[in-house]
Amino acid sequence: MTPAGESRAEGPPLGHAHVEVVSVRLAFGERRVFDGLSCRFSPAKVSVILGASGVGKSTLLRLIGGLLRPDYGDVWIGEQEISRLPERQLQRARRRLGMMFQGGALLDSMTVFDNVALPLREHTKLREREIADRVHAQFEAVGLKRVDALLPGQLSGGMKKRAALARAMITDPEILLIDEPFSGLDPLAVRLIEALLVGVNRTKGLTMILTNHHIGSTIRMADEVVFLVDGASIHGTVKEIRESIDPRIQRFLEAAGTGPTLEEAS
Amino acid sequence: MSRSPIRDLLVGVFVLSGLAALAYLSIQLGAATYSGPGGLTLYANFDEVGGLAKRSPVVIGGVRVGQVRSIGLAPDGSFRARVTMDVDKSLKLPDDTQAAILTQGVLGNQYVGLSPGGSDTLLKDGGEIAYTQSAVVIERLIGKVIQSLGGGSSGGDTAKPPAAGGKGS
Amino acid sequence: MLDFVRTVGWRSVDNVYGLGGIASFGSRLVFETLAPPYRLRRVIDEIYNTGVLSLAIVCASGTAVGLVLGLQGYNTLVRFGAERSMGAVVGLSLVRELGPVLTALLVTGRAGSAVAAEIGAMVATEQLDGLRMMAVDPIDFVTQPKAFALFASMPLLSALFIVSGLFGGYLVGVGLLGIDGGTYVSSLENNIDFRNDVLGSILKSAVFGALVGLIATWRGYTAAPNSAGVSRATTGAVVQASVATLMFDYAITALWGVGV
Repeated sequence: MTPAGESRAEGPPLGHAHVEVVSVRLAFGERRVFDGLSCRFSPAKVSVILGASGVGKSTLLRLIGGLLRPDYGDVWIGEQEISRLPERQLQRARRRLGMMFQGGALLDSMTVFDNVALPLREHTKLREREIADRVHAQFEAVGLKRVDALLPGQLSGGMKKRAALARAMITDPEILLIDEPFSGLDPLAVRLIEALLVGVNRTKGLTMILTNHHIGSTIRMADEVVFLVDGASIHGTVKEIRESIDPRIQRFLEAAGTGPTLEEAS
Repeated sequence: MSRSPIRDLLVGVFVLSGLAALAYLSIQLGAATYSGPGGLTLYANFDEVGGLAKRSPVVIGGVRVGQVRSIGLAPDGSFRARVTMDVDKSLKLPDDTQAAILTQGVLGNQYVGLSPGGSDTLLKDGGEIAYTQSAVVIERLIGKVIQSLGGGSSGGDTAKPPAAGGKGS
Repeated sequence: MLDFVRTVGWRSVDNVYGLGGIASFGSRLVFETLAPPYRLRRVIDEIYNTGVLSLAIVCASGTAVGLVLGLQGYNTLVRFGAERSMGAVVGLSLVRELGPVLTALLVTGRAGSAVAAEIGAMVATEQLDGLRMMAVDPIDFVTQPKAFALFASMPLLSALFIVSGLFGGYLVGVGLLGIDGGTYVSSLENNIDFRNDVLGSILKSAVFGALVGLIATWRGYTAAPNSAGVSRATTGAVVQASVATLMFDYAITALWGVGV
């Protein structure tokens, strides 16, 4: 396990990474998104994929989740390379992952209870009583009360994210992928979700990979930062990123620090 | 878990009524064109069957007693049409019964009308009706009429072309 | 000039890709229908959405068509003194053509568009991706119940349309035009044959149901993930399914043979 202080910007991967992306190239039609991107995500750490809008943060997350396949390169989840797996095996590999989408992506024709219970109903043979217990335990863990019979359309933004987190976690995944957890939330809600996520990471030792363009929470939460720019990544701890002499990073941090739209920077 | 028992009920009602409608169409309207007993097979040869078809009715005195099972060429090489009929087996038809191909009204469907004779021997299953009257074909009828109006010579024999060369209008 | 050729070439290849896409999608649907898990609960919900909710429009339209057929039929038949055959005229028109085709067009507009829109919206809001990440196949979980519901509801709705139409014809004939009810019904019964007419009708409506099921779910599934994409998918589904219905109607009628 690589000690947290080590920074590996480029170079051959070593040590045990939980998730690894190797020399990935991806283009959408004419637009090149990744051009030889390599990065590692350490186990049990909170890693944040940081970068400007449109640089490919969500795309990278989707690559890790197997929702996109790279034109070239490898995606490793533990010991398994997933980018060339046929759909059936990919489904099995996904059991180790949980994903929280930006809008929650809850099925809007089903109640919140049914949504969170779905993974259990599909993949386990638990009885309804047992499932109900687990669902309610998850609700408690994420701080949701009395939402069982509500439809996702009736939830607030923050509640949707909590429900999505509950659903992602109910199968006890090893790795949690989270796409823009703070989008659309007011500063108070941001802090609450932040605390929730960090709490989950500390108590369960989950590997968490988030995309974020929100500097403040990144600084507070992240054990490791993967900064995406120009189709490649720069890897380091929060401290290293802040002290980086790379002009692109400096520009990004400056804009975040002094911009009127972003809240606290520390 | 059932989201709404009313929904399930409505789906059930829908499916049942749909199946009932299908059943009505298939059985009542479709197959039950003759829903009576059959079992007695009879054959008859005709020169001309006209518009008679499979499932056309077989009728005695206006009452439906069976239907036409199939129509084909007679196997004896005579180029006549052989009609196979399926009629109520409880009928006791004498073997001099006559079969005629008639039409309902002027433009209606064609059917086989049976006129029972007086013989003591009965037709058995697979029996042959000897006396047949072919269907009237409108075109030939009109042809005859034109002939008799125009010529006056051979009345009735439609095979001869009207020798109406000089015999005028 | 070369550009034009290139465009034509591109479009053709694209269309072949499209056909291949819809073919493989269709075979996935068939497979998922036949293979467990059967998701009875969801299928029943979807039959409610497509079948039960279409009942009103189907029966109303059916009666209306029957009324018109009765009226039109009478006007023509009375010239030949053949009013007696009105039952047959109304019945055969409904059973052979109007029942399956009109029902299919109505259901396409009502339920087909709804299905395409729903699935398209689910694509746009990442719900299908969410399912994939939970190792649930969206084709199995979402599209198959909807497609099967459309397929299964169609013959039932078509039969109900026809019966409504027969009733409409009866209303006009017996109620308005003074035809004898018994004549109407017996003309119906004597002239409609199971093998030639009813069976062909059921086959047609089943085929149309499969077409709508396939096209509506396919358009929704492949919609671009934004509101313009969803709207294009919805209208495209209705247009394509309607055209396909009419084309297959001709094909089936020609192949099945008409009448004796």
